[in-house]
Amino acid sequence: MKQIARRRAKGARWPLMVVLVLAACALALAACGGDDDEGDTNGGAANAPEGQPIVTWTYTDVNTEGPQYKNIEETARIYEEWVNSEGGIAGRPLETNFCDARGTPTAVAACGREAVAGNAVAVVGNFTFTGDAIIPILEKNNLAQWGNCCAIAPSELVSPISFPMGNQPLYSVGLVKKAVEDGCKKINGVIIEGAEAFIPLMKNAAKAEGTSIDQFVTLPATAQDFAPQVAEATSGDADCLVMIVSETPYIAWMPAFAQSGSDAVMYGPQGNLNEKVAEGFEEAVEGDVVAGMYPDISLSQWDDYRGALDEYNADMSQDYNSLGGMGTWAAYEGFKQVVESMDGEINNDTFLKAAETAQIDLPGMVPPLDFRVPWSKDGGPEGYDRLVNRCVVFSEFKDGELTPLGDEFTDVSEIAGGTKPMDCGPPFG
Amino acid sequence: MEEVIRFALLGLGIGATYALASQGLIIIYRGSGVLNFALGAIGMAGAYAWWELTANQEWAFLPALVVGVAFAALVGALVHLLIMRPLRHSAPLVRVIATLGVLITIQSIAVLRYTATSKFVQSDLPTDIVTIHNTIVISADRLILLGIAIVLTAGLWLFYRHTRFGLATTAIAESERSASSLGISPDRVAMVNWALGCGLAGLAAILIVPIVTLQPAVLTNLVLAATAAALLAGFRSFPIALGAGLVVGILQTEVTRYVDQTGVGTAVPFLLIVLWLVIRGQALPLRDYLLQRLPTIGTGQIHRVGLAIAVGVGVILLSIMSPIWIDAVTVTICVGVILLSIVVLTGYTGQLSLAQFAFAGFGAWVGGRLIATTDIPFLLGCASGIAATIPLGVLFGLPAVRTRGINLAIVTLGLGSAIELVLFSNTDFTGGFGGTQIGDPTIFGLNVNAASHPTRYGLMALVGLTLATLIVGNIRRGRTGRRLIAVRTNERAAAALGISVPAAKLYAFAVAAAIAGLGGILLAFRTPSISFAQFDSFTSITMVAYAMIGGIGYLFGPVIGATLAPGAFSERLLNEIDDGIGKYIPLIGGIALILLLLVNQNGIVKEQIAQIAYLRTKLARFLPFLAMKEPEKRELPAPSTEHRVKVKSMALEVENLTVKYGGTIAVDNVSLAVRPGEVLGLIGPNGAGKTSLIDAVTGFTKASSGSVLRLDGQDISGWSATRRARAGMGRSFQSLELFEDSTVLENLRAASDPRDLGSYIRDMLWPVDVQLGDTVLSTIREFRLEDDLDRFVEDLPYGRRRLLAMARAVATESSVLLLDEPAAGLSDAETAELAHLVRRLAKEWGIAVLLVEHDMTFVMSVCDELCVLDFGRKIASGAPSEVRNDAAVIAAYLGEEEAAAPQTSRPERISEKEGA
Repeated sequence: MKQIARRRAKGARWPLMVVLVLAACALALAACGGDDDEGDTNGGAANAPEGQPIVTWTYTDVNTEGPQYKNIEETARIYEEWVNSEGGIAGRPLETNFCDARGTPTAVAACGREAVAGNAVAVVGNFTFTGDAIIPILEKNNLAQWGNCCAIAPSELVSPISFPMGNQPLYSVGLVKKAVEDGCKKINGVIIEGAEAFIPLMKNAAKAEGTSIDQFVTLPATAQDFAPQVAEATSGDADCLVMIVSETPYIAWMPAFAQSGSDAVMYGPQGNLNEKVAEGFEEAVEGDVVAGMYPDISLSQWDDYRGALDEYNADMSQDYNSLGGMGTWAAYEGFKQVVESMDGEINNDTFLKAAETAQIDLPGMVPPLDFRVPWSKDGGPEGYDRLVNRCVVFSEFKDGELTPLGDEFTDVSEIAGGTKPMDCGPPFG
Repeated sequence: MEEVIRFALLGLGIGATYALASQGLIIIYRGSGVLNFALGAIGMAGAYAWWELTANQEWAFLPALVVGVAFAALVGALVHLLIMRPLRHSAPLVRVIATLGVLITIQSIAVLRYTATSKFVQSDLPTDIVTIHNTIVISADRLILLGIAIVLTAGLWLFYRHTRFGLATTAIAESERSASSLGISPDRVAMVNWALGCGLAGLAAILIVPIVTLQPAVLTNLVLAATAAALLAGFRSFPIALGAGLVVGILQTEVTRYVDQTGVGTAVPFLLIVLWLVIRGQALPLRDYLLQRLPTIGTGQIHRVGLAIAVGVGVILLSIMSPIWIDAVTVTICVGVILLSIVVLTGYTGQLSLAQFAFAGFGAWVGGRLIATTDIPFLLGCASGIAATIPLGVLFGLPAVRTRGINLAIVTLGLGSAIELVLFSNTDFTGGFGGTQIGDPTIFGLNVNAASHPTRYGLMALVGLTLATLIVGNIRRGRTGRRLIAVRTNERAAAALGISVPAAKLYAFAVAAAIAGLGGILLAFRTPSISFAQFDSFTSITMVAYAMIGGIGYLFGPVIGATLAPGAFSERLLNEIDDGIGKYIPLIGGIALILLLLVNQNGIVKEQIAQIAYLRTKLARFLPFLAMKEPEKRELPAPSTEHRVKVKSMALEVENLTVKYGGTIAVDNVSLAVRPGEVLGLIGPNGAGKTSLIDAVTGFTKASSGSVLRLDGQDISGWSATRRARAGMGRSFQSLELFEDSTVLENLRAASDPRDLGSYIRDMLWPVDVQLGDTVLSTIREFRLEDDLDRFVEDLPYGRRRLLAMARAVATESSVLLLDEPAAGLSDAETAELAHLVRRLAKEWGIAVLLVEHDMTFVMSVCDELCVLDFGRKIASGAPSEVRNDAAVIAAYLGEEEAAAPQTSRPERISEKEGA
């Protein structure tokens, strides 16, 4: 009996061995798939930076089942190479470190602690849906979160160490404003599950513009057949859809929308309703409007960015005409301005002090930003203190491509609950 | 109305996808008895293979489709051959977790290779718009998909009904052992079914990715919803699965359209699952319920010195480490608490719950909302969160009263998903745009904010883990633990001992929910703004996997398993070794899970215990204090009385008992009576209805109306099995149904423990074993079990096990004892000894014994009276000497013709026939 058991045991080992071999193959197969282009740095340093590097941390969600922002990681890397080839920041080399927040509060908190342990001067150009997990750590350690496009967590909108350069969540207000201006008669809202907090903002904006959004359709967060939701959203002779939907569900939305034959114009957010989403549905998106924070990448103010993407071998599968891409570049440009305005030692404490009184001037990238006065002390509602950028910019789909609509930022302060307008700066062009 | 019809038609598209996915689930379940959570991932692998060929190699649709389907089928066959086949004798829990390992592995490879972002894939099916009644617009590809689903369903129905292979699959699904005896290879059939099911999943995936986009996780989500359709079809019927899939799709669409509440529409399939199983489930498993080996469980003993050292090390580490490491250790501790809840529920009680992370989230939600919106002190808020999960646990446990095994897993997954979708994902309930902010938590004035005081927070979590571990250890060692383990091992046997199976299950759910709630609070409150999105249903499944890896039956297992959780110790360690390794962690986790299940299903801790014991033995040569202590010889106290135990005299009266299984009458209007001190033999040919009669009398089978059962003159017809057992009715089972992984003494204690509800609470704090009573002490001596008390049942020889099965029934202080074939498989000497024993139980203990037995020599020597059944009817009764010569009895045993022939030794011939 024991012999039989032993024979069986011996015989039973071969599947284990095969599994081990396959496991090794799986690792190899997976490893082959990465697009980790370690691009050669071709740029020669005109004035080689010297001294101790200025250390920054950039974090975002990359390896996650949810939305991924590898374009942020890529832009931070490329900015480091580009700025160092241009003489660095204040003559010193920039050292950017990347941390993958993986879409979880635990991982993003670890990113914060890594930044603290790594003596970062600031956390720059980041984005994650779980920002609330990192802000208290940064607060405790006097570490600024600088320049991010999209302050989506409540604490990012009120914390004194948070310095967002984007206008999140006011582009939703901009979408409503634009739809009303375009003469939409019946506007329906489409919201991705979990973004219901945008609804009051949009309703208030519609009310301020003298209209209303009667129906909001919620899209399930996981992609599925969205034909019923399309039918519901386009029902009641809706001629315009104001949408707060991220890129992944947009990709699943488009076939169902195109097949529905609806003529409704879609108003969507920058970086989400984008050319990648529109691919194959050029006809369906013709005339659709995108509201965002940063003017189109094709404009001259982004020449350096486009050149750097090309020169430093950016992963071109990513979308750089986006909040993540342009937002991170603008954040680092703003960071450079603050650092170069500083005297003496550059560390997290001194940077935070300088940031508190910073006035950023990046013409055409963002409107003039003044971090000295929180919005709540400048006529804004509670809960949006750090929102110093309240200007929106629009693009439109033409022949499947996003093209800028106009050459200036549009202020939405008042329809977003503020009492005073904001100076969005001169036209760019 | 037109609107309703319009949305119903639109729901057909989703319904068709559910139907297709559910067919794959059914094929694999029928062929191998495995609920394959990896089906979506395998189908997705086929879709990616197809996409590689069409998008990158410019292949035409059809050849690429064939390769994609074949690839998915190959993956399915390999999964069976390499993983599921070696695990075929493992517990269903282990096999489900193995499919989870496959899911994680395949999905991780896909994410690494293609990223998690969606890819739009052009449809090769026509997408023209079809207009119905001028107003209803639907895309042609949805209708074609529906047509494909219908055709495939018909094909599968015909295939499994009319082909040799299909019939073989059905035979195996009914009874693997019987099918094997007919020369059918279950292994080969299972492999082909795995290939077929996965190939079908590949086909479905390729057809639906133009609609749902190509993304690693999207099809896994579909499979979770499709489980509802498969379940409604009983994992058997393809046409019902088709109909159910379509109904689920239509319902989901209509609810989404007309119910203005986030997540309710998506939760429809999961709520349907719960409803269906609660309606269709059974309070106790039927006789053919397959008892499978479960992972081993520990003793619950806590070495005080060891615990002190472990806590001390924890305190030192949390005090000296950097914040980033402190957080990793804290996450490990918090997840460890949640896994501890799985030890109670799944390890000790055998209830496979996939909702523990939902409990964790619920605790955090209640506590967090209270702290965020009221002035409640932090500790009180936490306590409220924990307390609030208890009723939720009971609510989730209610289906467990009527379902078990995989069905229960699906129910809990459904309930957990519903909570996630309706509560956690809805900002209306989580604080709107501002979220749930708990600010700076303080305990007795001490700030324990994890961001500013990570050490304090870590120590608080450590205190939580230590307390939870002590409570769980107490439960295990107390009589509560014995009740839970009895239910885990064998619900029928537990009920027969008077253990309330529903109460034990609900208790386990309640305690586990509270512990999970504590873990959830500790995990979520690490950040001042609580993220409820982390408490998703998929992570709930992976939690069970971590618990399995650590050791699902051991107190220290959760800590080991928790090191593998995202953000916990292992991830930190790997990140320290190499920054770039982080993205491979899910893949490494998936592979590690599969390998661990293949080599050791009892968890790492069990292995470690063995290794420590080995090490101590070796080191004891040089360090004698490390030597393993020999167990002390157990000295039993003498019974308090010189006289033998005399049970309370009770008679059992059965009047007009009828038992029906559908249209079949198993017992037909039988009346009999068993009096104290007497042995009534119940005999009859195989299939005569003897065991059905015992089942009906003891409450395991429902008797038909008109049947009357009286115990000691009291009508017990409407009583549950547990209540009858507690009233003094003991029984043994044909198949023994002992608690195999417990000791002999634990079996007897489980039978003789007082059934007071107070011990459920008291044991958590102070588990006290009551002194063995006179009855159980006398039973031990009567059955000569003194030397076997500390042996595990699985180590006993067969004859001793038979005796223990009887002894356990006697130890319940039964006044009426129903013995089902107690002499089966015993030697002549053992049978003779048993005969004396049964006589003594009747004559000296005063027990009324109803004896079902085939060994006629044994029956004739033991019984005072006999009752003979044939085809459910009573054909004779009276003293053995009368019955043995009864013509009807002889005819029943030997047939009419043989009975007519002259006989010289009829009892022997009856015995021979019985033996055959």
